[in-house]
Amino acid sequence: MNRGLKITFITLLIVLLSIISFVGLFVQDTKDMKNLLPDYVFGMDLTGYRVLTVKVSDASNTVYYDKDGNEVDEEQKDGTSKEVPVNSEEVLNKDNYLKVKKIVQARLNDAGISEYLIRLNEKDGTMTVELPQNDMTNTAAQFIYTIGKFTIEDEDGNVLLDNSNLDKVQVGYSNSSTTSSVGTSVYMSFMFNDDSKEKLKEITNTYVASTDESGNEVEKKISMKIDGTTLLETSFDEEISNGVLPISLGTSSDEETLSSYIEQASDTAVLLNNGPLPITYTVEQNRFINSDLELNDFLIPAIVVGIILLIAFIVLLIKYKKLGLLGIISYIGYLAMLLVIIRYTNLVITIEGIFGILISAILNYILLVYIIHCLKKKEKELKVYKSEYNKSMLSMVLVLFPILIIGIVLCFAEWLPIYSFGTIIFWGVLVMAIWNSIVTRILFLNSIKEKN
Amino acid sequence: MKKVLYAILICIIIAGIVVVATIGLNVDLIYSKNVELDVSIEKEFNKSDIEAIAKEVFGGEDVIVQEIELYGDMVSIKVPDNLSEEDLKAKTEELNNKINEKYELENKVDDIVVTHNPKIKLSSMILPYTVTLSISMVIILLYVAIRYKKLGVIKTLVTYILWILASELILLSIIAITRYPVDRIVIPMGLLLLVAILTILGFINESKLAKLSSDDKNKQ
Repeated sequence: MNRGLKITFITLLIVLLSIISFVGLFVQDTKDMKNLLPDYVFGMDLTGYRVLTVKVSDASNTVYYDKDGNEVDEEQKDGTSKEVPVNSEEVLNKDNYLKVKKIVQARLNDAGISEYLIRLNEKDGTMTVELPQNDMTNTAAQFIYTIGKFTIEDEDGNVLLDNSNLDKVQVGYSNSSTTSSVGTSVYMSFMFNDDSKEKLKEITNTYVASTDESGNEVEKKISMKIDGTTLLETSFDEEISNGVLPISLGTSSDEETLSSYIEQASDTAVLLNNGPLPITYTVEQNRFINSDLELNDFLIPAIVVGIILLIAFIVLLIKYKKLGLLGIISYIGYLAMLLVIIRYTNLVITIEGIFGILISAILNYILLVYIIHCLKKKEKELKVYKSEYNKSMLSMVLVLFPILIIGIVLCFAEWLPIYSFGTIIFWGVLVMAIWNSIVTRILFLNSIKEKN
Repeated sequence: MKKVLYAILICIIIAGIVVVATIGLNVDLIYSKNVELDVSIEKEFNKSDIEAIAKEVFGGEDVIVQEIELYGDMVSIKVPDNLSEEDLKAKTEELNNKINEKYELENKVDDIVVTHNPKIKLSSMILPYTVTLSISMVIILLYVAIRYKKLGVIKTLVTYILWILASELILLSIIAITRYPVDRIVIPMGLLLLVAILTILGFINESKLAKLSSDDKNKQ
């Protein structure tokens, strides 16, 4: 292909890519025009967040006593009653408030909530938690105030095992095929600590179905409860000696049902794996608050960046003429490409992410100037140009390698602002290396007129 | 000249450390202890009008105004939590009167929900960055030790560590000395600086390496 034609072809492709990236790719969709490109996804700093304020509960429970002073379930004639606060004086202290914060943080981390902010008033235990508004918000909210007290009780309400006996709870699923059901079974494995294995073994031997002397079936059952709500009532068919109590949540081949089982099991596991809250909380406020940052707040920085970019382009054009112009075309193409990738990979853009885009843009400009500067020094021979281009490109990649390392490591972070920065930097540097090794290379190497 | 520059930079760092140790950093309202006043306006409103009223009543520039829920008829006003309960009550009443006057409402002062928001610990926000960036730095130092072996491993590593630490400390010191409020921009600014330093050091070392190899070629 003719060299000029190659440049024109690449330029047209960049123009097309830029239109798609900066404007959109619209098609008619029933009534409206629909952009085929996915929308940008923004973090809670830019869109808004749910604010949950929880306060230490000052409620109390009424405890009833019979005439002999024994505690009973219901009010009795000649009996007495007493109001007992749900939070005793002894538990209301700074250590427990900090413990609650730590447990809530651990629960939110385990649940995969990637962005949240916790404010704790260490004097009265009031906690304000800012959460991103999405499908997980309501579940996340529950982790903030649900106590998570786990008990295994006998029929008289005596606690046989509780949170202190638990090591961890795991969620699992397996394909199952029985006479009654075919599909995937979701189960929870309650793993008890070494000290409690024997106790569980004893329970599994005691709470069984048996036949009494008259031939009637007698079943001794246990109840598994979380915060007083019965999760399951059962007796045991066989002895459990390994300390692992598997509880099936159900079997289904329907995806929706299965995911609801998994969700239920995972939420319970998150609650139980981080221990119960030592204090009972009540929800004071739960509402969505829009971000304080608006489009107008970004207008002035955007204008400043735009002006700087324009000046940078003019400098490139004046100083390096043709190569400068091709550099500008390539640069715009790079930005367009990066933004398309950000959209298609559903990267969440936070303020840190915006800085990631800014850093990528600056680095790409430096890379272009460096390459053009190296090329300008050389004689106009294609072979020399090619070798110089490859050399300068390699040199730039080596310079940028530490930044790529930061990008890769930060990609593994669970904290959204860091993840957003890391992934954008990762894509920014990767696209920079590939784009300039292919597109910019074609543009630059086809622009020179070889000496005869 | 170089020595003077280093002396100035060291002075800035020392001054910064002294400021942080004595009066601490100036934390922005979004992260510090604040009072939130939720006002129902029941009609469309202009955020800048509410902001102007709040600034007039509370007498400061430090005010954050946010819409509550999606209907756009309720507003949250955050101001620093530095007033006594009595003063706050009086200011809340004044705020209510002014909003009532502006939007022709008959809201009572008791309708305004007042919440004291505790501060967010800066350490809890910085910790996730410290862990991930420390891992990155270890890998980067390993890379530069291998890549720039010819320039002297110890010398290269010390240069990288000193430059990175010094630049971040200078940024922190400038923030502390100028009392710039620690807000959402500060951490990204630190990241930007880190990338800039790594790029500059990369350029310097690559050119040193290129010079070294060309010198070697010339000798041969």
